[in-house]
Parts: sequence; structure tokens; C-alpha cells
Amino acid sequence: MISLPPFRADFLFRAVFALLLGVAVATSARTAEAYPQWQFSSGTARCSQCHFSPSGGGIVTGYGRDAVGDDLSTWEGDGSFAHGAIDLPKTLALQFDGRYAGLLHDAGETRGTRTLHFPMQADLSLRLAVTDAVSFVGTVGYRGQARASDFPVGAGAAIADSSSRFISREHYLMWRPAPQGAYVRAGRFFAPFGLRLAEHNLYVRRDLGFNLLEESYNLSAGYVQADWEVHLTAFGPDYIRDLGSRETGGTGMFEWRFDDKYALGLQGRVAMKEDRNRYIGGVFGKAFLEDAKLLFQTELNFVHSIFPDKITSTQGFVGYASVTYFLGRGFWIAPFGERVQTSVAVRDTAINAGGLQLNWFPYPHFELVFQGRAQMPTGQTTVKSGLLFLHYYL
Amino acid sequence: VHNLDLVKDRSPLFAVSALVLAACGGEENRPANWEYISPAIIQPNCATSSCHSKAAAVAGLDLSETGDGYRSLMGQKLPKRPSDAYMGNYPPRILVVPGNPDQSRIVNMMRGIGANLMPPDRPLPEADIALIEQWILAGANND
Repeated sequence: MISLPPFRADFLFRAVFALLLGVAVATSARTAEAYPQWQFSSGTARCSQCHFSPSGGGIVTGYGRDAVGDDLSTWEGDGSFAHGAIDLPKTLALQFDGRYAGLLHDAGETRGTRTLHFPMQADLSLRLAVTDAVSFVGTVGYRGQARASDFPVGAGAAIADSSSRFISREHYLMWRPAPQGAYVRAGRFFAPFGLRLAEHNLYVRRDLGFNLLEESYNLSAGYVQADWEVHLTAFGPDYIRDLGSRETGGTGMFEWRFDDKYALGLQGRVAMKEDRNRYIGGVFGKAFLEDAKLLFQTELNFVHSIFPDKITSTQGFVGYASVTYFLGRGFWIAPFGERVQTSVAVRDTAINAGGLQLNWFPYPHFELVFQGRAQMPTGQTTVKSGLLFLHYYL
Repeated sequence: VHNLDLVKDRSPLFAVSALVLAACGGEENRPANWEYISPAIIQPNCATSSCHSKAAAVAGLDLSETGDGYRSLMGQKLPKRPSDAYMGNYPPRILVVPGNPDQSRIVNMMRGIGANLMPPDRPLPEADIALIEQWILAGANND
């Protein structure tokens, strides 16, 4: 057995821990997002029935809590705040989200598969109705970071802008006089776009400006009806925290639902930055086959990028497809496939991925998720990962 | 001059063309210069919020902008492995050795050769690494 001098062993431990934490944060940390799998399969057509956000995601409404308590979990229970122990006034909604995960990661390195367990999330969310039409939504939480900013580095090191680990992923003021109809909101959140999948590491999120902590500052307006909704957003970067892209631009999406089983959507995004302008256009679709207990979801986006000389440009695309099989109440299994190619004109610029995700909602407030995934960059080693996490919300 | 537009007239056939070409693709014709490599390859893959962004600047590397990214890559020195900084086996090495991709640590990291694989969660496709090699071979200029 090799024994290291204490200071070396301590540093080695820190170095290995830091690297693994880096892998973990990069592959798995995430926010409290919505599951688009619930749309249609839970009997609801609009994301905003279960979430205060008009486009879904984030803090859950009383309707959503009741649905989880009565219908969506394997075993029934009290889905309301604090398991029903505390009655909040109607103007106030609170939610705590905590996630803890274990990760297996095999990148084909000589040291073999790495394992790690780590906290993914600790966020407190609040929704306050200022008037019948005006409300405020905000979250505060702990920001994951791969390695500490004081990690030993050489000369010429850049210094992190902020050492604070606390972050508000979302904070916005919203005018919405009724659950259906027009709304306007301003603040920090993800601009509505595409399928709005929960997993930030999927390419249709990661490669299009919706990765972890990449919420932009937005002025957004939209109209939500029973069978269609449209969202238009002007966005800018987070100048305060320097998190995410520094792109500025606009995003629009339209979703049309029919027969309470199908949805088709169009989305577009113009994102401008001094060293790259991106023009993104895409489509998405959903189909729920109730008898077969299957939900098909797919999204495809084309990306036209223009670089500073205004002559160089590339065409790429990002795609996702999955089939979710609802095995039983509160339990689904979903194989999925992805592809991102940054330049369709050049061979070997693509990354393909395939995986399997299992979600189990055994009891209100609890969720267990497993995601197994193989990422295959062309000409490179396949990276395999397995992530298991427990989500508890109060 | 590099014009990589597949469909210069933005015709409606773009989508079909893109899908067809996605299956095959052609030879490398992207510019091997930093003004392209930084925003097209380095920033989207390395400057994520928790890694080499301005806010996190892990390992002293801020790769979020073209200018800052170049300064980081060319000015920063890292040990062969983080533990080496204390073990003293190797002197800190710069990430890019102009004209010599084989001796450039960034290339070895992207291929996971004698170094921790970067990016750790999703390696770059080979064509992107090869383009970075071309840039280094040409002198790793800030152009």
C-alpha cells in the first residue's frame, strides 16, 4: 500500500475531489425544472396549470401540488407545502428543492470509472401575489462550482469575478390578470423555447443557451390559451454575475395543442455577441398515445452562426428525440437520442448521444431519477455516465 | 477568406441540405484562427457557468471571451496534474506552445493523454481538436 506524506495526501485528495466535483457539476447539477412528460399524460395540457410560470418550470401551483399528491405519485399523500403542516396565505407560495446525487463517470481514461456523490441543489423559491394581477417570483440557492477559485494556479491566472456561492436563478415581476390570456414578465429566467426539458445537460439545452445557470435577463410577453400559446422574449446577459453567455437578442416560440394528446411547436432565437451571432430556428412535437402509455417527444433546431469577419459562417443543428413509457403510476422510463453538429459541412464535428432515463415519484415531495447516457464525439472516446439522484421538495 | 455557407442564397432547401450533409460532411474548411476557434469551440464547451466562465474562472482560466480566453491560454501555467504542483515532479507548463501542438498541454488534455480529459463531461469531436492543432501549428496567433 502506498502511503503519502500528510500534506501530499491531503492535496491529492483535494485535487481528485475537485476534478470529480467538476465532472459532477458539469454533467448533472440543475435547477428545479418542469417535466414536459407530464403534459398530456397527467391530464393537463398547459404547463402553467401546475407552475406559476406561464411557460412552465419553477415553483409549483396548488393545483400542481394536489395533482402530485392525489394522482401522479405511486402512493397518495399530502402534496401541499410542508406536507400540509403549514397553511400559507393565498398570496404566498413557498417551495424548497433539494437534490443529492451519485455519479459514475467513465471517459475512457486510464484511471477508470470514477464515482462520486454530491449535493446538486438547495433552492428556496417564493411567489408573492402583490395584487390579483401582479406577482413576484424569486429563488435563492447554492451555486455549484467545479473547483474553488483559489485552486493553485500559475502566473497569469484569471481571477473569478465573484466568490459568492449564493445565486438567484430566477427573479421576476409578472403581470398576468388570469391564468389564460396575456401576460408580461420582466426579470431573470429561461426564455421559453422548444420542449423546455428539465435536464440541462441535454444538447437542445446545453448548446442553445439554456445550460445550467444560463438564465438571461428578459422582458417577455405572451398569450396562453387552452390549445395554443405564444411567447416572445427580448433577452440580455447577466452582467451582475457574469454567468452564462453574454448574448443579447430575442426568442419566440409558438405551441399548438390538439386533441389533448398532440402538440406542435415552432421556435426561433437570434443571439448576438461581439464574436458570434447565432440565428436559430426549430420545431418540436409531442404525441401521447394513451392506450399504449407512450409519449413521443422530439425537437430539432438549425443553427446559423456568423463570426466576426462577417464572412465566416457555419450551419449546424441540434436534435433530440425520446419515447417515454409510463410503466405505472408515478413511474416512467424513457430512452432518448441526441445529436449536435456544429458544422454540417465538416465531417467529424458531431456528437451523438443515447441514454435511458427513469423517473419515479413514489410519494408526494419525493422523486428518484436515474439517467444513463453514452456520449460519442466523432473520432473520440465514448463517455459513459450513470447518474442517480434523490429530489425532495417541501 | 472563408465562406462556409452551405446555402448562400438561404434557399428553402437549406433544411434538407443540412440533414443530408449531416450524415456525411466534407473535408475541413473552417478557419484555423482564434477569432473562429474561441467563439465556435472553446467558449461553448469550456466557458460554462461552473467552469471557465468569468464568474468561476476555474484553474485561473477565463475562456468566456475571445480576448480574455487568449490571454488565459497563452499566459497561464498549470502543473501536469494538479497534484504535481505539490509533489514537485514537473514544472508548471503553459497550455499552448506556438508551433508545437504535441507539446501543447491543451491538446493533450482534450485527448486525455497524460492529463485529465477536458472538457470532463463531454469531449470535443476530433475535427475540433484537429482545428486547434492547426491553429497552434500556425503559431497560435491572436487573429
